[in-house]
Amino acid sequence: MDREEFQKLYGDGEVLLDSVFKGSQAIEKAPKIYGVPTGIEGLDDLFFVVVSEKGKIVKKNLGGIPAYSVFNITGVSDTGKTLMVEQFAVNQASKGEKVAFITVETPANFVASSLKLRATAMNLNFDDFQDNIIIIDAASSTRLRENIPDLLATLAHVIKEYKVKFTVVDSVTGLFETKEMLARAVVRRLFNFMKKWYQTALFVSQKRSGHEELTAEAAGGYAVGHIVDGTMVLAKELVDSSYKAKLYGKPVGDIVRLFRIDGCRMSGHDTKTHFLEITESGLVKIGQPIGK
Amino acid sequence: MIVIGSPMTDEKEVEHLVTRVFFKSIELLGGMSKLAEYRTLTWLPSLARASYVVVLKDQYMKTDEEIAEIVGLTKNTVRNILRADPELALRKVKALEELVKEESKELKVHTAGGVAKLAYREVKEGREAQTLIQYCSAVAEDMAKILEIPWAYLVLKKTKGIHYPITDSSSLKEKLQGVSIKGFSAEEVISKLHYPIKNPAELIHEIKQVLLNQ
Repeated sequence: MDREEFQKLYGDGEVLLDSVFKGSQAIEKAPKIYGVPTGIEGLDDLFFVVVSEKGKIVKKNLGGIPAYSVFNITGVSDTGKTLMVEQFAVNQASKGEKVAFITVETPANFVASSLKLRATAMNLNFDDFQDNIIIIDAASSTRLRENIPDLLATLAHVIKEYKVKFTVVDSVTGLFETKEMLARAVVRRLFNFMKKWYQTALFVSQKRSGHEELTAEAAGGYAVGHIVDGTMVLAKELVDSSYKAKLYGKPVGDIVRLFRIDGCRMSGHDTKTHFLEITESGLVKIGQPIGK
Repeated sequence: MIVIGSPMTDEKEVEHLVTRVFFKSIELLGGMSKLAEYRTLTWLPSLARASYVVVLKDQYMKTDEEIAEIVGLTKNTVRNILRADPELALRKVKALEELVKEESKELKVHTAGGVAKLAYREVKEGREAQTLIQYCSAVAEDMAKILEIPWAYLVLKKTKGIHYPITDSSSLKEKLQGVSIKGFSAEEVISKLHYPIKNPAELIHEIKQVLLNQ
């Protein structure tokens, strides 16, 4: 390569015409957004779109999370993050959809028994649709856990082979456990991958002890939340004052669980903080807004 | 339930990527013959190390400690490679003779890091080392012959040694002068291609598109 050619190639930057779209061209490629039911009672009604009907602007219930969205589900331990994504996976699988479940923390056999429990609690027969869930066991395989390209190549294979439309990662935090400074890069790569493959995806993301309970902040910092389309925040709080007792309508000494949606790029959403309940059979339910 | 417990990828993938980046780094520094002429073949170990480090960091997201362990360098050297400025390296590569004078015995860690970063970017954007492209072109030529696709065989045979990416029609016109592609003159076909063309596969694809539209 001679110098002139070099200059030509790298000189003052290159125009990347492939990345420039007119609005009309981009909209042609845009997928139609619809609601994906989550199987979590009370959650599906919290998303909506605004449409124009007979010249009037109407708020329309989406009936689930927007398709092709990527959500972070964040909270400290024992707030119900894993339960939520398990319910989502079971619900979609029971409808005949294929779900890829990447487990980073619990080995596959334990995830399987947990999913079965969830199905039973949801009054579904797990055996009827168990093969609709494809578990990628990154908890047991160091190579899958430590090498993002290997994990993504494996997921790409699974998506193609089984025609998967939904992906769950429990948890993304496990993918950068010992290297939190890489959190943003890891999540960015996962996010881009989900978009490329048109996945509707849920990422479980742990909170650290120093984080504010009801914010979108998760391991890796606020920056991680900025990458994804939206965050669902799960929290629990001890009722330790008469003020809180009055606010939550619970006696002092009780634990209340709270839930809120912190932003959703792809549709409108409810902005109130809701009560969250974990039933005895182990199901997450979203309740009324607090103060109602 | 379907459980997948091990990666569905080729174990050799890091190996291949590192080597491709290494080849590209050599090319950026003028190629093996220039390195020999300037007596700077001693640069190769530092280039190999830097290529390895850059791939492990950018593609495989390894920490500096992990990289140091895999490649057999100190953590500081790894950091220096990763901190290197590719733009500075680019300027140095452009003024190769000065670089030879300044770093004659051993390529500085910073320079090697910068060159490897440039090379990694090039490979990622589909501009492979010419050595690899020429070999692939030769294999494709054989393949076209075996599959009995005369026009593809002829195009690949005649374009041997052409520099990829092909940015305009002039070099192609020169190579394919007088050739006829499925009854059309090569000149006519060439003028309808979309440039730049990154590799032989893209060249064949582009020509096929034009033929289909005729």
